[in-house]
Amino acid sequence: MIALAQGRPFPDWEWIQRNGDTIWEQGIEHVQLTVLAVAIGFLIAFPLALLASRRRRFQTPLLQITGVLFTIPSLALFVGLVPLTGLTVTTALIPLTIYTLLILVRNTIAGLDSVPNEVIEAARAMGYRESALLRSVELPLALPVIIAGVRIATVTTIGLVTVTALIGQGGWGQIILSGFQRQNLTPTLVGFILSVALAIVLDLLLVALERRLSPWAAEASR
Amino acid sequence: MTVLAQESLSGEVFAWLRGEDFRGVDGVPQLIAEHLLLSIASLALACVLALPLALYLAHKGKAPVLSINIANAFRAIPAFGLLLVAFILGGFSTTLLVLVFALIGVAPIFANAYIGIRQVDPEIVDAAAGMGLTGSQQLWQVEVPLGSPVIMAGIRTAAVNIVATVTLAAVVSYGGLGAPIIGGLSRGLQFSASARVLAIGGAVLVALLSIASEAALGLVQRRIVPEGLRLREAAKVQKAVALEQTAAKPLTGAAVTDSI
Amino acid sequence: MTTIHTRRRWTALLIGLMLALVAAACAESDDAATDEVEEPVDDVVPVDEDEAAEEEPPAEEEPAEEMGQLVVGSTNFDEQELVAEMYALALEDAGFTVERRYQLGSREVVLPALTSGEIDVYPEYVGTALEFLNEGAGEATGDTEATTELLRERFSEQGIDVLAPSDAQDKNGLVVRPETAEEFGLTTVSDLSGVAEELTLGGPPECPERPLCIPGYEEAYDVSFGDFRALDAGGPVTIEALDSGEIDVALLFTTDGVIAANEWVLLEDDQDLQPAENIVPVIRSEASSEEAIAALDSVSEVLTTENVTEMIRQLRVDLETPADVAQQFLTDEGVLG
Repeated sequence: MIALAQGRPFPDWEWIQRNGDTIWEQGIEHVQLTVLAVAIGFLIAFPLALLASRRRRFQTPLLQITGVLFTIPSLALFVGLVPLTGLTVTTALIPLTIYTLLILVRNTIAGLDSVPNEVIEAARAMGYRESALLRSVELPLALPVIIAGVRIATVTTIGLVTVTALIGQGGWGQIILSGFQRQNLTPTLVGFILSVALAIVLDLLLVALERRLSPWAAEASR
Repeated sequence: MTVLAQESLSGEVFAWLRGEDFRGVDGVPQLIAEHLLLSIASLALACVLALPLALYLAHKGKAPVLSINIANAFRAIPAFGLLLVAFILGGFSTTLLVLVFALIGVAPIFANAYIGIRQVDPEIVDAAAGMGLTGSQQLWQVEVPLGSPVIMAGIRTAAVNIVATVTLAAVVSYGGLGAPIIGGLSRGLQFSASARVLAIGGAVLVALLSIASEAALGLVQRRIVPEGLRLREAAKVQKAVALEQTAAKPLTGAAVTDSI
Repeated sequence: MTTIHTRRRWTALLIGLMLALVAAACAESDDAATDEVEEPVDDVVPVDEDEAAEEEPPAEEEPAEEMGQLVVGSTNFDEQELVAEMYALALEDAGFTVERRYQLGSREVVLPALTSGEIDVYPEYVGTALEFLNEGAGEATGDTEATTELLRERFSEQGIDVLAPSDAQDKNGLVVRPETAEEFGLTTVSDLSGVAEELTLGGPPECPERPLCIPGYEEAYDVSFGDFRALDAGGPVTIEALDSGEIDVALLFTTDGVIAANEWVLLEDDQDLQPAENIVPVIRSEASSEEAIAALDSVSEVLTTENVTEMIRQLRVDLETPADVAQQFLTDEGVLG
């Protein structure tokens, strides 16, 4: 343990008790940022992916652009927006949404593309028109891959939310950061563990959702 | 006067790119070297940690759901939090940093390696067994080559993730391309052009390095993926590579495209 | 194996729980509304949501308070949070409703938040603030009054009032380990000249460019360090670096109780390079009022370098929270209640 951290009680149960409220509030903030980012990201990603999957011309440039955008380090985006949008939730939310968008676009395209052509042909032959085709055939079959994307986006966002502590937001990132500043392991570790736990819980919820929405996939892979 | 100042700033930037210190920040070549060193070491460790287990479990067909879910659990690790915890526990330690960033890369490598092996047509494996190949021969001579596009896609994804995340190492003063970003931030982006140069320059350089790493690994992939497979499955593999996903089958819990 | 009905029930329960959590959060929070997750329907539909993203937390609705609302901010520095909390407590005591926004980021982030009205008041250090606003012109001196006056002029251009400075100062200082001090015979900064080439300095990343940092030491003391490591501004990375030997000389803040706790040696600034750094409240003119000024002044009047140093020690070594320490201190000093 480094300098001051030695000799400190660990785990500092007293700290945890005293700061229960803060931990709870920051948790709510963490969940809110995550859910918002993923939801808005999906709203934008879905039509884009649909377009790209229908019109091949768009697909490669879209994927390349999203691929490049993804390589921009999150820290730079958060920091760069502060002069523009101030110290608000928006400043945190915009880059978070961009990252989820990138993940969701790729996965949604992959999902839609994974529907075998034969199935689509068959459906068309049976008289399905475009919107019904989409709703009743393509989406159900693409769903596992799409939800896999939502899972990844959600879990990734939870991690990125901690970085926003550097611009005054951050959910549990705040206790991670303030614990670090005072070289106190307990809050840092608590924030870390809670973030991981949240990610696992949301991931499992989404798995449950996937099973519910496409029970046939579970059967098929057995 | 303003024109002169502009010119000298560009001049300084070019000098920075060539390797001279820029306002107290090390030259770009050194930053790139530091960044790459940590990234490569972390990627290597991630492969060492993830590949053997993934290949073994996939080959034996064991624990499909558990494997994918554990891979996802690794994805759940917030890099920033882990970094700070590691620093509190171990102080200045490059070894610790390598471990931290390796853990970030484990998830895509493990998931893709597992899925890559699993999606190999079982009939081919049976045929190989029928020809007398032992278990490990089947793995190395049949399954791995056939699964290699997907496995490599996972490694490339991990590389991109790691290169981007290593930026955070500058928070604990490691260096790398995160240093100018942090340096720009602490100088005040609204108040100084050099600060903006540092922050934006650092961000652009990381992005470029990420893309370059992925491309470089793409070249490696061309060498590793067997030619016959490449030719026959060109279309499928290309799509898989482009989308960095598993091939076709939607497995429950498929860990598909992945990026930070 | 569970039937499809049981699975549906569990899934619905899980989704219901999550929606409840999110809905509860909506009800409590003053932030943007969150969205619902997918509705469990028989047909698969894309995620259905309604969003209402807002940019700023709306003003809290309170029954008419005597004095109105103020937002107190701080940078991401625990001393700042401590003093800001004192301001908040004093303002509340005077009848204001206070919204606390601490640990917002560095000065580069917080100062614009003040000028733009996102926050109303935060604690500043007269010397560093002045040099920040004049972009390093070197106007700050060891004279508190003069420096504060110059700061007032600068800040008033932005619609900010600088109140009366307290006696507490937190300056930058060079700190070495006792072994280093012994080996090179160091008690003042001047002792470093001629020796500094063998030493590594660690400080905030902008140190090589700041007139009160590397260039300042070179000019005023003829002290030129062999190497510089970019760390953080007097934070845990710098402290660990000095402790572990990564650096020989650290730029720390003089009120940091860590110095005494580790028996490190703070080198005396015998050429007075570092200007006055009195802690002073800065408040937006529009948000200001006599009562607010009186409340803030009451805090400034009781702060001294000694008691601030002691309180920082309580924060960093004893791990008390800023809120508790501030509360205790102001009560003891009779400022509250």
